[in-house]
Amino acid sequence: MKKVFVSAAALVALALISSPAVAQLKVAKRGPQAITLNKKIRKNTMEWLSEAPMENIKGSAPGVTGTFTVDPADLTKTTGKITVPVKGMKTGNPIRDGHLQGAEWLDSKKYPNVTFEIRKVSACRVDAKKGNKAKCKVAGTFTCHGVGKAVTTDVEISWKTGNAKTARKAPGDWIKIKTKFVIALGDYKVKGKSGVVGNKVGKTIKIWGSLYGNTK
Amino acid sequence: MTAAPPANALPRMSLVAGSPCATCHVAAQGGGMRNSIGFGTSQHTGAVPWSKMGVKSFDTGSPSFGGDTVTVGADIRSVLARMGRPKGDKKGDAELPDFLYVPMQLQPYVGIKPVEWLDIVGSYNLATLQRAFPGQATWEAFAQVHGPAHLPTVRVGMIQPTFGIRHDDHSMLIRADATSPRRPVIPPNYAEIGGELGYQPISWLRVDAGGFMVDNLKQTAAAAVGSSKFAYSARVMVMPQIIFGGSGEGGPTDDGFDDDDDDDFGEDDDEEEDDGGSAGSINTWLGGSVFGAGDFQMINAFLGVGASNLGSLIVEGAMIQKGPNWTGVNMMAMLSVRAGFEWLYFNVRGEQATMTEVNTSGGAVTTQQFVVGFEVFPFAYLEVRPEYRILITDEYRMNHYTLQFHTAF
Repeated sequence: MKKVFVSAAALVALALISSPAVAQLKVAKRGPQAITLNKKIRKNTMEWLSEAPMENIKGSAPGVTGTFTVDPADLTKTTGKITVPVKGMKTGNPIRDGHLQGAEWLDSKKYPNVTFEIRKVSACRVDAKKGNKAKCKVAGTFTCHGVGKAVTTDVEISWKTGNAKTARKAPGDWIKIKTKFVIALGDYKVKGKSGVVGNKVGKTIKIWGSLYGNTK
Repeated sequence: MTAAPPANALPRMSLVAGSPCATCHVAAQGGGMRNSIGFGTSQHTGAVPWSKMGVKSFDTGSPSFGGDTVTVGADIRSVLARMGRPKGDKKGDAELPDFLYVPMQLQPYVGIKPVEWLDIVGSYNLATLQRAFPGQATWEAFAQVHGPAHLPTVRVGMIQPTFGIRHDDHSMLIRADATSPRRPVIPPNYAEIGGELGYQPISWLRVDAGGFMVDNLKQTAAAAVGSSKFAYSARVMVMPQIIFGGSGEGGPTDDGFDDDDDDDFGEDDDEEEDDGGSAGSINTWLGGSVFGAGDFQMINAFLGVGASNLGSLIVEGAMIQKGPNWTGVNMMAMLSVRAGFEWLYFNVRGEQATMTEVNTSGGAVTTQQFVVGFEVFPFAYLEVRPEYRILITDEYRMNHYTLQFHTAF
């Protein structure tokens, strides 16, 4: 009985030591890979939704750029930053676009970009069926209107090994990063026009998007 | 063929855009004076942009002065009609010109916003100096107080009570009397002195209710209104909206993270097809209203469905009690489809008005109308509407072409 118990314990210990890290994608590439967002794969656009009693406003933020360092063998080592220009943001109405980019709202002249910089990646779960996909918790700094705040978001990372077909659009391996999170305008000192936030513009904004990049 | 109707808002714009009427108009029911966003929509809608006309400076600019303190606007509308000949005209006395030109609306607006929570608006339709329907208001003016969303909006002045859908084409039969199809029961730009509360605590629910004088209503339904001095109105509208799509993935309504089949990197996309993805929406209305005074009552029910970049379908029905002896049932269905461009819509509409004199052997009087045409925005501030209309009454059938011009800002 004692022998069986010791053997079982040893097997468990061996399994724990030798099992692959859960943050490991089943792709050929190993080691830190430099990834650059590339609009030739797909246009990199973030989208957002403001929900308020008087109306819902759907908007987009095209022209997203960014770079990452991703190690498929250990996703928790991922670093990177994305930049979203305020000037190109759309609300579905040109005058309202101007308001959004103006001094009362996001003030594109003073704060031309919204950024998100990764601080920590954790709790990664690789898709058991599709080993090239994983979900992780990403903690970072979201900077908007000159104010940076800690934001944690769920991110889905998909890795596509490059082939002759993908090479026609962009070289190397491709990566897709899908995310969504919520921010509060008040946290970033975005006050807007008096009486509008809470009536026609939501106090919180839902943000989501898929970003596409490639290795060299 | 008396005064042609002025026209204001386009309800289908609200259904297609997924924005309420209040996004573009000062009054939450829509129609009338536009705010800066409404002006901007008119300023940037058109097949030929300003830059191609060599007047890029017109691309900016605002109708407001002193910030938002004073805002001006206008609706200028006229119609040119190629009249047909009524077939089967029993009276035999229809004399119609080949062409008819009618200035429908020449209505400037002035809005003042002394403080953020107060709008004061006034307008006068100069076209009514030439001709006006009985009961048609020549002017409109109101003060509107609006605070936080958890409080109602209050509007007082000379205003149109909120009931049914405020359509822009008042040749529609939904507010008509079948026995006199060109003299609507509720005339274009109908307005009374009164006050109204509007409450929209969440984006998909709105309630409006008000009390009004009856001076103009008495001009079309005097017998029904009788000695009553006041009219009442109430409308409830639910506006659920489904937001979908975006970057080829789900928005907030689609978790997406559990979609194991989602492996699309877009390697098969053509560059031209890749629009970067943008969220769309399906927008709906469902509502009912009542408006009445004395023995006059109008009960409306309506349904609207719209999809961004596609078009809309609006269906409305009205039961009219015009005194103890007359009851009417009017119905309308209108389909608007985007014809490939934001500045071009195809419209088709069918409608019927029926009025029955009760307790007689006379039976019901029925009028039907079918309209097909386009809305074209050739350049900013201008809408052109070529339409073909078939009007069928119990006495005659008449086909005619109309070409409507509308400048709005």
